[in-house]
Amino acid sequence: MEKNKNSSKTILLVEDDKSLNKIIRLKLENFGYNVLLAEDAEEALKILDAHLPDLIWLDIYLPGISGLELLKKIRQNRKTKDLKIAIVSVSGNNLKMEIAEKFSVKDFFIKSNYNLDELIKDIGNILNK
Amino acid sequence: MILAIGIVDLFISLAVLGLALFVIMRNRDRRINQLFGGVVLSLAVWIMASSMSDLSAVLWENEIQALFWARAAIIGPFFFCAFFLYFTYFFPHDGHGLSKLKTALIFSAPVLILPLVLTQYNVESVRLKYWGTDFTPGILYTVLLICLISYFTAAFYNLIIKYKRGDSFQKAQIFYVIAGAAFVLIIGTISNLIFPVYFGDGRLSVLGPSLAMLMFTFLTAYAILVHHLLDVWIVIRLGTIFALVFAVISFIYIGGVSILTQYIGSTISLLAASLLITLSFEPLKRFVEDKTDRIFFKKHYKMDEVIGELTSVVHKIELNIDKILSAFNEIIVKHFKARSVATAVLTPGGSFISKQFFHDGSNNRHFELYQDNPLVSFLAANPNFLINRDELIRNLQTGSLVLPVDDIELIPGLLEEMEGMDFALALPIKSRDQLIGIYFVGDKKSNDLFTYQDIKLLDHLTGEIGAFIDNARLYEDLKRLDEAKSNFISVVSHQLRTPLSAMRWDTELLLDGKINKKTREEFLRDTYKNSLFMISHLDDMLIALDIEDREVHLDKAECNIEDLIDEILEEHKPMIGQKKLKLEISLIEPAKKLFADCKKIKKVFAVLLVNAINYAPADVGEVKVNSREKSEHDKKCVEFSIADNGIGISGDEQRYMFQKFFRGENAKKMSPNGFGLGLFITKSFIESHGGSVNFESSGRDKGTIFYFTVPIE
Repeated sequence: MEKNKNSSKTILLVEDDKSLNKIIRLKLENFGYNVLLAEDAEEALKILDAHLPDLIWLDIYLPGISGLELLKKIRQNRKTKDLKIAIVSVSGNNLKMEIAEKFSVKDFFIKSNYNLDELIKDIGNILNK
Repeated sequence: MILAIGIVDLFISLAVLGLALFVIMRNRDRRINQLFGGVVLSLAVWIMASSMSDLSAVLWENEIQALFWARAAIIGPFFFCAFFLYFTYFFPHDGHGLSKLKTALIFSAPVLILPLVLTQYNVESVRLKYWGTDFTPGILYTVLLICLISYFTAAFYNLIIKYKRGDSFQKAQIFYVIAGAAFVLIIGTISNLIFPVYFGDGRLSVLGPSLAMLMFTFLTAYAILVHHLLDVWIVIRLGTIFALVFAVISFIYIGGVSILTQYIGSTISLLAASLLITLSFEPLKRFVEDKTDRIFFKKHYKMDEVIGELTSVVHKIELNIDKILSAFNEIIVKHFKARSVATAVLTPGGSFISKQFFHDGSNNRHFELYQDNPLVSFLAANPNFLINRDELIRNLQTGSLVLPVDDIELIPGLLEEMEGMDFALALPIKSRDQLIGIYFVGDKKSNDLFTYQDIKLLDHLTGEIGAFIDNARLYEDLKRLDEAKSNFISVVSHQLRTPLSAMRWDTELLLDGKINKKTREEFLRDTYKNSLFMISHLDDMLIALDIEDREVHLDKAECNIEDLIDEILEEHKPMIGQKKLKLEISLIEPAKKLFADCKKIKKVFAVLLVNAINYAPADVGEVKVNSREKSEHDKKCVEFSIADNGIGISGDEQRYMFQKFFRGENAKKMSPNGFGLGLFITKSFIESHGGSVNFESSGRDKGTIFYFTVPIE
């Protein structure tokens, strides 16, 4: 039932940890989302060039270009600047404030605080706003 | 007025004689100093005799006396010519001297005229005037003119030849002498020859010789003393102070006595005046000293004041090397009027980079000196000596060595370097007897040489700089450690929470039970892998804490090198394969076995290999593993090296590589999940085996080679 409701939505998952992106991708697909996976910022930018997702699920700690820089690039690009972004990280309250101020991202989730199903539901709510 | 001039004349001749005496006493055995004494003595005779003649006319109105002194005065200029010509043969360096014939020839003129001094061939007659003695010159004055012209021509010829051949330092010296002699010649000729002989007006002759003498003596004394790094300004300053004190006291004495005599009789008034002088001498001297410094010697700095300024700068400025060096430069430039100053500071890479380079008002020149630079290697070997360019020039000329240079061959190299960089002094900056910087000072704007006091002050300054750099480094290290620690905490929380989140979500899925067997196995394996990852990271942390707390315990056994490397490579093959790296291994026989803690050696190997894999570029990356036998501290060792062609290590970061928690900026970007403990653990494991770890990297993106040695036994 959930599948059908979300079948039209695409989420770009930016997460470098392989076991994490595996489980998240599986769960998101179970919820009926289309998932585009990027393991680093460069890959994410490449994907964004070709497809515009409905939401970006962004881990802020990334190798190479950091998640923050990626965020900045997304916000600077006219095409992508209004995309919905949910930052899903494992830590960082100060970071949360900083990002919220700088890039007007209000949705910030700490991974280990969430049951994955609840997290996906919360993110689903952002999508449906 | 006239009386005053006469007294001033006498006074000047006394002061100048004192200065001549001082020059001679500085180095009695040097021919040049003796000759200078001769030159000044003849001048003094000239000036004293002519002022006595004038005083005879003005004070005592005694014609016989006036005639006698007027005639005697001619000895002065004759001997002056001879001594001066002779002097130019030896100046600025004591040469091989002159043949006896030439010497005799030079002195023949003044000696031959001696019998004629007290005859009418010299001065025919004198007329007493209110301003002094006017005289009618005889034939001797024409001889004197010829002498002056020929002797001075020869002397100037000598000096000009020497000037052309001389280095910049000698040129400066010769210049002073030429200037002094030219003064004497011009003033003396005008006042004592042209005016009295050709215009019949002898009034100028009262002051002329004194002025000429004063100029000549000071300029020449300066040129000679400069040679010995003695600040003539100190001498002149003391001379002036004493002269003024003397003048003030004489004034009080004479004035006081003549007034008091009218009331209390001469004996008591003399006693009273003496008492007054005794009591007032010290305070008067201090007063005059202060006033003369303020009026005449603004150039002369007071060491205490400069040191005070330096110290107050240290207290005022924050712990920032650039700021303090620039403040120091300002002070030194202000007081020394130096053209340039620069501080070169030791970098972690071993070279010396100019930190603050002040040059002619701008701050934008830079240089870098490497360990093989002659100045660096000299000061590193002799951190208690300074390099003085002029000293080097002198050593090169005379062959006598003041510096602890075992090999005279070193001097040209040092000199070339100093001249190339256009600096006069290079002083070592030390920290615990290690060379950590070099302080360079360029020439003074006045071209004066650096005095003993200057050098003492600079020595003090470099001490301050050394201590300051030490403190600043310590502070930087602490700050970095603090940053590293907070960074560590955030990394640890990220590092542990990432696998924990994955494990949590994986188990949620597994507990759900709605998944097939294949998926279940896959997520169980992931969970297992994540738990291993956490254990290994926690192990690293515990090892690092352990290393802090106590000595590393070694469990030594025989390790087969080939097996060890095979095992490690086997474990990391998947990582290498994933990044498509090229792997090259070359193990040199005969070392096959080590007696060591195999687990720890394996750990070290793993750390370095994983680093090389992580930091090499995917697809085009190369990792090379080598081993060879090597002897280190007389012990047979095996040296392993692991090289990559990856991100490299920037110069600034190199000195922190083995510090706990430290992670390079590049490394953080390439692999954000490291703890910064690997190299710290590596170093302590290898050093506890009695081996050493080192690395080479030419900088960013230039790859890195890590070496470590392990003693075989």
